[in-house]
Amino acid sequence: MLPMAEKYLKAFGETLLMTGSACLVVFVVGMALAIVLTVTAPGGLNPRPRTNRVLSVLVNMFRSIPFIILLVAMLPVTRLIVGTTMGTWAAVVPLSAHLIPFFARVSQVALNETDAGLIEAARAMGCRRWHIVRHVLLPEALPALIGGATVTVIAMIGSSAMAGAVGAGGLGDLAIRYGYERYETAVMFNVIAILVVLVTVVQFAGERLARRFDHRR
Amino acid sequence: MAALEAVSFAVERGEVFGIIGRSGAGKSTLLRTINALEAASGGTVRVDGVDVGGLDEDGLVALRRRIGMIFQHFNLMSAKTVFDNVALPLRVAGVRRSEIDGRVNDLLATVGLADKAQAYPAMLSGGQKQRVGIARALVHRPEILLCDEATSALDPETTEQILALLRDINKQLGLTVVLITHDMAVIEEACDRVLVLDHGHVQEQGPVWRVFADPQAEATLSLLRPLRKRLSANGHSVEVSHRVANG
Repeated sequence: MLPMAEKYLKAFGETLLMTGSACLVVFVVGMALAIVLTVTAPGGLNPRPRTNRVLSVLVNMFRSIPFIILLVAMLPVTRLIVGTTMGTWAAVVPLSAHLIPFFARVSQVALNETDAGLIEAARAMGCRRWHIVRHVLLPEALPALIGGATVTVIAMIGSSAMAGAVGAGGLGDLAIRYGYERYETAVMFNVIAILVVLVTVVQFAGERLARRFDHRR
Repeated sequence: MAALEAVSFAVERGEVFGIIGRSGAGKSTLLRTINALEAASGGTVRVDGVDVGGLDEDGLVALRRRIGMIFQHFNLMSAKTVFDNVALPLRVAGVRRSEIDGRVNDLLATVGLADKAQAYPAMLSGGQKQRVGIARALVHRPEILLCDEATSALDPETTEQILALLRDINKQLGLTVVLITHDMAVIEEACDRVLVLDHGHVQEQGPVWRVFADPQAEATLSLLRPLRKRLSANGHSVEVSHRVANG
């Protein structure tokens, strides 16, 4: 059996790996989805009401499924993508699927906040639609997007606790197996302490980064 | 209901053409039909003989690169520096970096902001922001400049400076300027000819001196009233009307 300190380290590493790689997927796919949702919305840069509605319903569907159920329901998909349904990598698939729609909505709100006057100015200077996304929507929304990403990372750390159900390990799994099932309350509290620190650091870093890119004041 | 009806006018090359009206008169919509930010549901808008309504996206982009525009609330990108704001129209047009640097710096010098190139818009005063807006509107060397209430958010002194700058640019570059305003003082200060718009209809149009000296429409009179009050209070009315007659 591993000494306790090593157990914490291993669990911490698994949590980082899970949340880190799932966040990467979520940011890329979620951002793309947010851009499409914003651009195709009625009154958007390229209104496509049908596409918009279909995507929107899909996003709402995934958002309404509790993570623990999604975890199980997605097992066939996970097997298809990762090749196995157990372990840390297997958790990345449902974690991503769970938070892509969340991040997409948060980002969509951020993109929608863009001052209509700026878009008009961009059109007046001869910007094409892609230029407007690239040079107006994204840079202007960047502080809010970073804020949304911060919230997403923290939600991810929370959800990853449940990934122990597919043998993904991580801090949450440690807390449940030792703290709950073996009545080693100390382990649970230690894990909670580590999570509090982790979440605090993420929040602080996110806020600093957002401020650094905010030139509105 | 149509925002504009039976509005017909022609702007001469190189003149400063003013459109005045109360808020809701439709002047903002009218201005936006010129660069097709608003599509006219009927009638035609021609720029140099080309029907703007018939252009596809490529045509519109090309048209808009010949027409600069400045705004009441400046509409500068808050996330970009002054330099990058002015450079943006050139960047999206695919102009080479070395050429962009030269043109942007020249223009910033022209509008008196050479030392603010690396500042962000939030750090500037209203007048400075509008100077950036003007530099941005001129950077792709347009033939026409549209001014949407460009001085309405500025104090009187800054307004005068910005109008003087517009006048200079108009003379030096031979730029055609179309401006809209609700303030007759702006018309008096900057324009050659004026069109009075009310409830989406043209009330009258003509040379500024004529409209000021002999207003025909009720709307014109009511727009002139505050200006006349101010002038008689200052006791400058004779001097001003003299200037108008020569302008």
